[in-house]
Amino acid sequence: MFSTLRQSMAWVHTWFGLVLGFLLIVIFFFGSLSVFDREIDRWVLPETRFEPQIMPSYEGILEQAFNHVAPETDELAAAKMRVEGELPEQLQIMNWGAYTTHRDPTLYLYAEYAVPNNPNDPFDHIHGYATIDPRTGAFLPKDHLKIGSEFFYPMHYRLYLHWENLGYIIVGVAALIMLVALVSGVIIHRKLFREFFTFRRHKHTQRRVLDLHNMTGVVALPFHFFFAFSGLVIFAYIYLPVSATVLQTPAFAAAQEEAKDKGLAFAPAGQSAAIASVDTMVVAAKRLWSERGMPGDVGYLFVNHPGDINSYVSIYRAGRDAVSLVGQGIHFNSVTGELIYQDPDPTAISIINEFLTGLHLQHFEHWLLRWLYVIGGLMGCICIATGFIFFVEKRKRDSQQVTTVRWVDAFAVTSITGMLLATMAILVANRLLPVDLEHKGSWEIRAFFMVWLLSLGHAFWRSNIVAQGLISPAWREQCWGVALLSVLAVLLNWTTTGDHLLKTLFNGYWPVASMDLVLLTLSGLSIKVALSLRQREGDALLLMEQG
Amino acid sequence: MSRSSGLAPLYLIDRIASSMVGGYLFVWGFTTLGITLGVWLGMPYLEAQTLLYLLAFLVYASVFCWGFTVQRTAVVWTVLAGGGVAMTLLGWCLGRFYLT
Repeated sequence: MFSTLRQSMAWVHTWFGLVLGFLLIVIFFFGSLSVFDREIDRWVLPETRFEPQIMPSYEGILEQAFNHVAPETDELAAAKMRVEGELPEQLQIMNWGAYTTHRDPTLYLYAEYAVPNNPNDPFDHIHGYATIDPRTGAFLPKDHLKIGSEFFYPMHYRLYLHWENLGYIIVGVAALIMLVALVSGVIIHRKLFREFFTFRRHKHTQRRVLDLHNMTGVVALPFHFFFAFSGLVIFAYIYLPVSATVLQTPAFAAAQEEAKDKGLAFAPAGQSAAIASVDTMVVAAKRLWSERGMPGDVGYLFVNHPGDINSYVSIYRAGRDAVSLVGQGIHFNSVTGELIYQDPDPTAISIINEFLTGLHLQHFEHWLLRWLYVIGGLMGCICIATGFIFFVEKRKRDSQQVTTVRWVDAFAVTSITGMLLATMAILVANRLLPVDLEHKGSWEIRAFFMVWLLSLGHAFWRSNIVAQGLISPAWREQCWGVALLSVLAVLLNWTTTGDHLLKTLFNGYWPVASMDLVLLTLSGLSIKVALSLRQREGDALLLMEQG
Repeated sequence: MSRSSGLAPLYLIDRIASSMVGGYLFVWGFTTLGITLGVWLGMPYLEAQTLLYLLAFLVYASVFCWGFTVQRTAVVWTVLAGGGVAMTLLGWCLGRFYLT
């Protein structure tokens, strides 16, 4: 593109980094929050503030619960548009499953339902989801949003966009650009090792910001590369669906062959049969794991073709003590209860894949590493944020780039302090809205996006002085907003649940105690930044007046 | 150099598309052909797919950067999009006629 490699890479780094950076900072921030999604869930849903549970009894709890799961209403409505004629009143259940980790007090259930009469897709199906209290089998109300795992987490991997796979694709492009930004960043910075240790705190803003950008980028380089890369691998089947398109024929043949080899029925027979005791199968699976020298709990329980004579039950061991999510699957005939097949030890390629995905999704137990993930993710946010500020600082005295600089500064405010404001707003809304409000979760999400939109408006309104070389007051004002809302969230948690910080700390109830502590720390930091910004705004003004 | 205003919009669109779209087509072909070659050499299908998914995005990031170092976008389009289509066709033929 340009005459030298470094010039070309500098262009790629600057412009792709800038444009996709606004997405990347969102992805990094909500990824960092998702590390503690289950704990955030407990903060927002006081009825789930009890200890994590193991997979409950099938006969005692799960069977009845599965029978009460229903197709999601929006998926059902969409399916009605795709089929020829009417959809049957009761859809055939294809399979159901339950997944839990060592951090889940509640249990997540899902079911798949066959959609017949779709001329374009003979395997068309829709889903049903539910969350239950595994101690009683009681269903959590659908409109009680698990803000950690059902909002912050989907913000991380699909920006909470619902239309087709758009959200996944946008995040995929951003992740690819993250890889590209890292590669091009390394190429343009020749003195990589020195930048590890360079932070000239007392130099002027532009130099200091660039130092911080380089330092966070270089120190956390392997971390950032790993997460962008493994994130792409996790959703590779969405980004490169070759097996569902150009290779459909060989892929389908291979899947059938594999099912036949393992003795696991690929399709239901259409003849109903009663299910044997699944609890007995769980006991047998646990015994087999012990015999293999790896005793453990059930992480994932799956019933294929329930109620059919071809039905089978798959039981997977929870990966609490391993990087891979779940493993050592054991499959039983649902009708006779006999063992059909045990998964062999994974191959080298599977081990690499399970290691990468497991390390990204981290369902294993390692609290120190969990916190390091948060720090790494936030370093990514700092790296991107300082990239924006450097962009503005470098160009704000250039009269030809007034509009660009103003836009970038306003978007930077929105994507940094604005995102924090919106995050605080959803937590405050969660505590303020009445528990029995219909569609409570949707109102919380509206509060989030409304506040974010307001912060965008505010940032643009206040950014007109950036072109004069001054600092937009929007930064400082939104910092005060964050400081206020985060303290308010802590106070509201106290008044609405009675679980104040002293109580949760004294009882060692860390999920809620840590949340409150993080919110208070954020408030303190925001105040510090706001005060320091006021100082600098004054300095910049003085400098301008002196000419 | 870092000024975007120095570059014509049409040139920029062509430049970005050649690396992004061309690169995607290339990786699509690479994955398709890679899986079928893996199966042809005796790997189980899912194993071959996992291997190619592990390689695909490293290849994508590399060819994406490479595209911006080439002077003429026609070269980028030919190599990436052309190569991608050719590999897809080859992979499809292999999957359709030799593996099933």
